[in-house]
Formats: sequence, structure tokens, C-alpha cells
Amino acid sequence: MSMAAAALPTEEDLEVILDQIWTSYVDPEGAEPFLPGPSGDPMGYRAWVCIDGSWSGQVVVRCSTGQASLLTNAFLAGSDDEITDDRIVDVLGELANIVGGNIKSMLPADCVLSPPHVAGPAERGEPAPEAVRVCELSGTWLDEPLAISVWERTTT
Amino acid sequence: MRAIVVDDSRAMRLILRRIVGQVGFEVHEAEDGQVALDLIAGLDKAPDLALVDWNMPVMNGLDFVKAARADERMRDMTLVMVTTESEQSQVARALAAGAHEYVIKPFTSDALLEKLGLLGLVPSGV
Repeated sequence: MSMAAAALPTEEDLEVILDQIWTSYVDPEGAEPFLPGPSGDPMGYRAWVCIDGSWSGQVVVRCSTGQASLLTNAFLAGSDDEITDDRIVDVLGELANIVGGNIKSMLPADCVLSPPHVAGPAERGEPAPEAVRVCELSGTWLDEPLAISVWERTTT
Repeated sequence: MRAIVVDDSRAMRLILRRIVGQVGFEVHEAEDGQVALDLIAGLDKAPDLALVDWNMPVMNGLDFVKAARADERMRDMTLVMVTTESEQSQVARALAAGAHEYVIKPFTSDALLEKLGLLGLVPSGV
């Protein structure tokens, strides 16, 4: 089932969610804001969650390898943890989970959220191969690209 | 005061540990509800506070809350759900199961501490 266009999430919704995440975990001091704009195709890591119910689709986070390390460093601020691939997968998965959960709250109540999936630079495959893009927020943080998009599944 | 942070994300456990640790809690961590129950069973006394994610493998947060409420040892433990599940129906389910408070991700340190203050777990003004 397709929702009315007015009820679907928009780029502005993604900006609000991202701003809350930045304020909460990435840049609490507001010193280095996310800068919306063209990000190219930030090939590197992809993290996504699936939403299933009367609306089905995916929320996808894409970022460069450098951005993945920057975000992981920000989330782990104050810890002695090394930035390993496991840490990056954990942080990007949680980022996709938070964005996806907030998107889900805009959708019909029967929708459920999957656990996050994360694919590294060496892994091929599109997270949303048969879907149409509903909205996207792209830009850079600390000069590294990041894009968040919402996709509606067109087949069941 | 003791707290247990129950979340499958290591990064989120670290963030929560940092926030409640800075107001004096001794913090334990568990990556799902079952690990948390096992950990608590091995403690001399249940923690004063549990911060619990909803969606986790093995045992989710809602089942953990139900198990904690059914266990006499954890009767005095304050249960706070910390999750992306923000629909009113989900909040109602968690509160009906025995959660005392509900915090939606993303949350700021101040917002979480304010909720804990309202529960009497953090002195006001911290």
C-alpha cells in the first residue's frame, strides 16, 4: 500500500532527525555542524534498516570510509576504544537504527523496524535494489560525505 | 548507586555509561535482556536503575522489563526504556509492562538526566 504523498517523510524531516543526532552524540557543542549539499556518491559504508507493514521500505545511511571513522570517533568520544571495523559497524548500525526508528514513527502504526544491516567498502549489493527514493539528505561533515535516504519498496 | 545499561549497541552503552557515570552511578553493561538478568542474578543487590533498549537480540527490552517486574529482587529497580520506538502505543505497552519512564533516541545528556531527576535518581540541578 502506498501512503499519501503528504504523509511520507521529507528531506526536512531527515534534517531535523540528523540535527538531533548531531546535538545528542556527534557534536554537542555545535562546533562542526553537518553541512547539507551535494556529497557525490559517498561510496564506502552503507547501513540500513528495513521497515515492513502497510508501508514498506528502507532507510539507508551511506558514507565514505573517512566519514565512518569520524562518526565512530565522535560516538566513542572519551573512550579508549580503537576505531576498528567492528566499532564502525556498531556505530553506523546504531545511526541507521535511530534514523529508521524516527522515520518509522511517521508511518502507520503497524510498521516494524528490522535490526540494522551494515556493509563495508568491500561488500557489493544495493540495500534497496527494487525501491524508489522518497527523500534524501546529503552533505558533508568535516569535509567527508554522508547521505541518508528513505526508499519505498515497489515490489513485495 | 548502581545502574545497568542494556543495549546491543556498544556505542550506545558507552554513551549511557558516560552520562550516568558522571553523576555518580557505578555502571554495569549488558548486550541484551538475558545477559542483564544473568548479570543481576550474580550481584549482591539489584541495581537501582536499568536503562533498557527495546530492540535487542535474544531477549528484547520489553521482555526484560516484564521479567524484572516479576522478580522480587528487582522490585525496587527503576526501569527506563531508552529506544527509538516512539509511537504512543509502544510507550503505553512499556509503561503497562512496568517501565517507569521512557526516553526516545536520540536524547541529549540533559534530557536524560532531567528524566532521572524527576524519578529522584539524580539531584536536581546536576
